Amino acid sequence: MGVSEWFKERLGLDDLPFFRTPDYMYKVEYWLGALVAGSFIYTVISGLILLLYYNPEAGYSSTETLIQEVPYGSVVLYSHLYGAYAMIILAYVHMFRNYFDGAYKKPRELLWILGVLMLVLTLGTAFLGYSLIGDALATSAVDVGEGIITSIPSLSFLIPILFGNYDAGDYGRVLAWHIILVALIGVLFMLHFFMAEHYGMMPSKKEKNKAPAVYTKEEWQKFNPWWPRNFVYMTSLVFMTWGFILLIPNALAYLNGLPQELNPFLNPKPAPPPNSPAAAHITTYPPWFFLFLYKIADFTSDVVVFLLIGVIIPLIYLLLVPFIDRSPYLDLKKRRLFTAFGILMITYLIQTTIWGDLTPGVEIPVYQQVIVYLPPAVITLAGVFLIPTSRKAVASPYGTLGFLVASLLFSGSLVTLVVSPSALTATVFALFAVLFLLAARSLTPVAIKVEKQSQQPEPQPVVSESPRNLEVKKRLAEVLISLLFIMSVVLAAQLWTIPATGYASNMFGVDLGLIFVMLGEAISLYHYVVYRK
Amino acid sequence: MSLKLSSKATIAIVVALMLFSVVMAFENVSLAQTSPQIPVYKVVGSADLSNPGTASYWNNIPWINISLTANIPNAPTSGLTHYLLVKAVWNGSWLFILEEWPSPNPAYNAWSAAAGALYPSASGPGLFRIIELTPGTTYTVENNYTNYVSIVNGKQVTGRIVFNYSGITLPAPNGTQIYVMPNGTILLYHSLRPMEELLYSDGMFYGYYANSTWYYPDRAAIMWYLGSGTPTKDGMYIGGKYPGQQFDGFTLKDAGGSLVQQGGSANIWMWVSGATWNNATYDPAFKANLWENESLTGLPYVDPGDHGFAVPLYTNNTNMYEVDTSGIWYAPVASSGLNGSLFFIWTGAKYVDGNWIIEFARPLAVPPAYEPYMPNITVGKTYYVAFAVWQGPLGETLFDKSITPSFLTLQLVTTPPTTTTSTTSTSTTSTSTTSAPSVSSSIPSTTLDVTLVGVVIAIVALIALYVVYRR
Repeated sequence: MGVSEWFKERLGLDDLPFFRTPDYMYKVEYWLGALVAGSFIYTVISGLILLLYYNPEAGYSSTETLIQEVPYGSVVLYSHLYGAYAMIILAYVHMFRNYFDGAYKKPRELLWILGVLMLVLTLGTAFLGYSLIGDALATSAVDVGEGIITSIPSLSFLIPILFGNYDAGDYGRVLAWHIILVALIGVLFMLHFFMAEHYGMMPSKKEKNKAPAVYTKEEWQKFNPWWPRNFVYMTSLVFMTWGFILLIPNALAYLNGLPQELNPFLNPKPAPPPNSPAAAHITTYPPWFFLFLYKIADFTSDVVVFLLIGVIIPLIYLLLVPFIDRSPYLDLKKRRLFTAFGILMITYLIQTTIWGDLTPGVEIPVYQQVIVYLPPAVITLAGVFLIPTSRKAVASPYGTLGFLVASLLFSGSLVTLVVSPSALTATVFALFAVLFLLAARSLTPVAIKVEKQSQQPEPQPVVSESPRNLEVKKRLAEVLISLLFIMSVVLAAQLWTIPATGYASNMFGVDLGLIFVMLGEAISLYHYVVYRK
Repeated sequence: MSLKLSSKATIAIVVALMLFSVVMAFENVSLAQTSPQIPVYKVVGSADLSNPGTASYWNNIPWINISLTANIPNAPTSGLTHYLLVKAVWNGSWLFILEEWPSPNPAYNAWSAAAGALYPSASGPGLFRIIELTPGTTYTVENNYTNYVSIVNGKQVTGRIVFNYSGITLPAPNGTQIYVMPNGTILLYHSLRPMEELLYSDGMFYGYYANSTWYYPDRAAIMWYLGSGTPTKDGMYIGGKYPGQQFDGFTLKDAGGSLVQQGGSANIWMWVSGATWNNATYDPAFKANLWENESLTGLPYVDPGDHGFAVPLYTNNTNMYEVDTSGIWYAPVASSGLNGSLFFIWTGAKYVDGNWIIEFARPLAVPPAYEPYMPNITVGKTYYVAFAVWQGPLGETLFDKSITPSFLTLQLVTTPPTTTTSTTSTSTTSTSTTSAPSVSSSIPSTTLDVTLVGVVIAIVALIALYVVYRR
């Protein structure tokens, strides 16, 4: 431990104002924020590299040059795109996880609000970055964005401010905003990060089941210090994240001729330029993370209504939820309405995204919106409100299973009823509705029982395995570590034979990604060997 | 720790039930759609093809309104018919399908180009195609091609025509004939068929040119999917004469008219106003008694009852063919043992009040020799059909047409239709509660899919939260 101690002393690592971490928190679900930060940092670094080559006055052609001629340019560009994708997806996961945990409650309200603002900024930044490519998709996305703004006449003045001379092919202003917003995210991130370190990660409900869910100074002092365990664990997470960010898009670059529905998600390559004849033959679609907005635009021709449904109401809800849900309870069973809202937000986000992907620009009448959005709402509300009511204990996997079967039958019959209303379908629906309610009730004792159990002081968790078993596993992990290192070295040694440009060059990204993933896994195994008790 | 036998069985049952319920969840959607989009109702009676749609049983059958769309969205002359009304019945041995669509300007006396090509003295509209190039397309004549001739505005010049659209250039074959309209739009005269694919892929294909004296016949076609599974693509490729055709320095990947749906094949019944209508006044092929002239058509085409007919076509991923005929439109699918079945599918057609009304009639069963290329239609089986309509006077011909966006399901049903329309006939006292078929066809399947996705996500989220937070 000499080296570690040396660094600890020289850098004063024990005096860092970082949160000390209890043993049970070394699981990835406690580190989702670190994953977001990891992808953010990757995207910033790759973006700075791209900035060296990008010319905002020739957006499309400089992108093409970057892909065709700059050494490993396409590797950096595609992974920049997927770094942003990863950041968006992970930010959603991070947000919803904290939502269901009740992490927005006292004392973390500001932390939550900063996070929501960062999500908005991230989506905005991603949109601007997407526009910088200047292909037919980007220009059409900017057109749509400009169209939304101009349809509110008093906001038209924003267009030259936001987009500059975009339509004439000068993307300088968009590039500037792209960078400014990233800087803003960076500033908010620092605040978010230090507040998170101040309050610590959200403790397990077994430890703290009411807000304010923070450890006291005394409890805190007993946990692991940041150096070296957190450092090791974080390094493994960052390597893994970066590995996948490099690996996925560069592998996808070799897929050609995807079905149109998959293009928004799986095609890292730019589309043809907007003024080319080929542009007439492509379906334009927004970046996937705005597909949901694109679909909502098909629901109404009134832009104000559109903005209310798609942006303003969800955003205000998310910003204000710490002040709406003011009870100290963290348990989902005591926050049923908010749980239902959370599930519905996820459901509707995914549903609308898929809908926008399948039927871009096809107008949707109100009755079809009802067909699509009502059944999940009914199921969610029923599920959330009915689960814990009765008190007889009938715990078994069958309860859950029965509930699953019943809800599927119930929702299917509801759709049938709406599609073809008749006495027969109504009867079937009523039958399955009863079945669904019964199944939901039969589940409740499980929840109640668990609730009761969790109130009793449990014996110390008996998670530790038999020492011999653990010893064998650690041996195995050591072997794996050496294997991973050997494979990384083999891959790294042949990395330099990959041509820097052209068709084969994306293999560089694939290989580098694999090396990162393997290193991440090796470090994670190292963490296991050293710290697992 | 080893699992007890009983707990293994429990797990197996749980997993099996889980899978079953997921399967049932998807099954449920098709339950919602079990009534076919086109139910073929059982009736008593026969077809009156001389006056389609007048047989009394048609009064009890509701029209099904089918939306049509452009098959090539980028050609302004495609997709000009927005809907098609369809009814279908069967009488135990025959299937009758009635179609009606608005067509303000019927294509009288326009030849089907293939039929016109058989008849030496054919004249009038429709004999060949004129392609209108995308406005903004320009041309140059490259004089260094000294062995090429081109015809520009009726004048023969030496050299090769090269089209240019937004910097994309396309050299034309030897002997290309163009006409430049006063506004600069270029018309390309009776070019070889692969030119369409080349023009289209370079964004130069605007559509077929038509005016009051030059137009194409009206057409209606029904496509019957013959492959397995549920077909998702009802389109055909634009292309060359055969896959991989080398044409003037270009290689054409697909044959024009070959089916896009991979691994599938289809039978097509094609009615053409200028060749299969059997109208001695307005159908030039029947006016010229073309089908009775075996020396021109190659096979004896005998019409047993003075009907019109529908050309039996067969398409797969390789090419488009004719079934059991001598190859007037496309090559015969089988070159030996031809009997000349042009009149196997009967049609009757009339033009009334701005609408075409066409009736197709075919025996449910087909002779064994036709079975690989035509569906045997039986009770209890679901068929996938697609419809196409061409309005020739508006420039729709060949692959430029209005089609159903996807295949529709068709089934023979044994229940009578519910009479929702207030006809004077005595209302049926049957207790059947079959819903009106037009309702289920009005909800797109994507909407149901998205609903299903939402339901599954909501349930999975509920269960996931329950499992995670139970601890």
